[in-house]
Amino acid sequence: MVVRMQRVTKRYGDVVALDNVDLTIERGEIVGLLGPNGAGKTTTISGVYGLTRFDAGEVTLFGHPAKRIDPGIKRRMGLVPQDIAVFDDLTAGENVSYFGRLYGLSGRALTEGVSFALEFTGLNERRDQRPKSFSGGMKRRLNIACALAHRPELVILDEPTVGIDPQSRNHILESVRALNRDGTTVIYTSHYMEEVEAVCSRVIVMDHGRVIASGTQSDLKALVSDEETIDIELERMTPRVVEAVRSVAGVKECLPEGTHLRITVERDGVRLGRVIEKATGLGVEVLSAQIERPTLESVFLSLTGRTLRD
Amino acid sequence: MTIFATYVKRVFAGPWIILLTIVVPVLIVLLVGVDGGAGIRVALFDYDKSELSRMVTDAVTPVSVFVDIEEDEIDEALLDGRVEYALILPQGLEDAVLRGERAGLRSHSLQGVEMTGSVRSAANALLSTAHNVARHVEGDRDAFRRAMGLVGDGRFALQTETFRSERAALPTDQASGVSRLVGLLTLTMLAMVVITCFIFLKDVETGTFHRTLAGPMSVRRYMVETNGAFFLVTVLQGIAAAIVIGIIFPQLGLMATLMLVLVLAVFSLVAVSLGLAVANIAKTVRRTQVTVNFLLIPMAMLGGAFWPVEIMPRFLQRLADFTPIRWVTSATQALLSGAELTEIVPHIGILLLFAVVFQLLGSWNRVDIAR
Repeated sequence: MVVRMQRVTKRYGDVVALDNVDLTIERGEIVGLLGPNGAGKTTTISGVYGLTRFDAGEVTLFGHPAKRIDPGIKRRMGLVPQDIAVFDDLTAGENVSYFGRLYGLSGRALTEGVSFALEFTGLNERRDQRPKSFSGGMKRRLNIACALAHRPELVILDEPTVGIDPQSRNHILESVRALNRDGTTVIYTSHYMEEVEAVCSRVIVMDHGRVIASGTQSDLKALVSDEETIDIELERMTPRVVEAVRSVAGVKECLPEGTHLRITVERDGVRLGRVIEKATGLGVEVLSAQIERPTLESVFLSLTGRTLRD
Repeated sequence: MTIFATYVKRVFAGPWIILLTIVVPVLIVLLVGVDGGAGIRVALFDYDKSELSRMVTDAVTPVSVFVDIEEDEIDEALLDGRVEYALILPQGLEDAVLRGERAGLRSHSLQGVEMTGSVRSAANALLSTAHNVARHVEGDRDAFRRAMGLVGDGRFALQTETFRSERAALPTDQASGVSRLVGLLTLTMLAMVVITCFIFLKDVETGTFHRTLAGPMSVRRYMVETNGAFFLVTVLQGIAAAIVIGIIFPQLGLMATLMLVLVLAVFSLVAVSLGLAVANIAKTVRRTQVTVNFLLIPMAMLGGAFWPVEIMPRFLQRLADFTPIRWVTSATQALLSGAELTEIVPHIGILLLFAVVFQLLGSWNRVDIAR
């Protein structure tokens, strides 16, 4: 187990930032901390990183109590802060080297670590340039590179894609997956549920300082509904097609709407191919088909009564 | 030493910083130093037009640069620095000397400014000789002028160094020049305060400060290394300036030059600590700019960076004791007067006290942030 938090509480005056939070993160996971601004995500990772002292509860990191995180433990972790925290007056290479040395690298290990981090984030060609000439996306990637030179076992990314273009966002998300494939455990905070859905193997939903749900995406979606909706567009609508689709096992309801069929089915219980087969078997061509599943957004809405961006 | 090395590099990242921290101090030393050796700016008024008054003028010429002003402008010229010394040779000077009367020279200078000693001593020495000669010629003007001519030919040596303390490192005029120079140097060293402020605040604004502290390092180590980096740069300023002073004034000697380096090094620590304190209290670049304007410039004026503290009203002189620059200039004056190391220890101690206070002001919030 990489991280374990038990009954952790943190107050800022009258404001309860974390309220009896329990969570565990296993080696090799990409865990998404999902929640709106002020949910307690940043306080949670600050505590994991030793930047915030909790008022109550216990935290263990790599099996060690984290009351006073020793440098050895910190060297196994990498932090990508929400703000782009790099030195404008140093080059990209010097920035990565600075943080690499801060985390104990020197000599050949430092050279290799810096090259790895810059290569990994696609900035090797720009290593001798200063960040002020970089685009927002490149600065974000440099922000990540600075946390990777020492090859940490646990990387914490706090909202790493704020304010960047889709191409850079995709690059970062792919980098997170690549890191994980190499065995790195990742904690990823975001209030963009699309990102969390795209990269995280497990999601912890937070709101008002509490963990309100935790599990795989399927687990969470199951909390909201055990149904899915399939929408197919047909060349023409016939009563025989409607009846044939209704007869498929797992189909709960089938409603014709013009040339569209809206089919309610048990979640993961019906294959789209079976439905299409039934229609085409009766000589009716299927023009398009779409499965509407519950999203994390709808999970959050269902659990809290508000959207992630409220 | 990661932070130390990185911050030294960052301080020297821009050419303008190198210009400000190293080139400007050396230029000041060179320009003011050379100018300081050129002589005292003297306004001389010869109303006697006698052989004796001509000889007095000749005697002070080697150590003077004559400035042409009207007599009623003397006070104003002294205050605005156009002249440093005004010497008036009254009508009837030679007659009075021949009669055996103690005819004195009238002079004007700013109280407490001792840079004019060489002019005064040259004039007084010649006049003293004239009185001695007059006693023996019994009013014979021709005999008096012949005897004084022999003095002018160099057959009688004039002791013009009687005002110089035997242990003084430099003649008074040069010592005053160096002292004034060090005052100006403190200004360029205070520029380090501004640089320290801006680098530190920039780090807070960009988040690199917090990110660094989030790493596997202690706050103490961070503070020691950042202080060390800024300190090193400022010390280099002081050493470079002191070396150039030593080259321009070789009479200063190795020991006094080394002590000057020590004083400037301690002041470097004060400057860096003050920078961190200002940054910590002001918290933003904008407020720092205001603080620098309202704190550093008055402090420099009060402390004697622009003019000698002695010319200021007494209550301001007392106030000056609460500025670190005051203790740098007074330590410099002391060591130029031949003071031993032990005699400037109190000055250094007070400077260190300033550094400690500024360090505390500059560090409390950072410890809090780290917590």
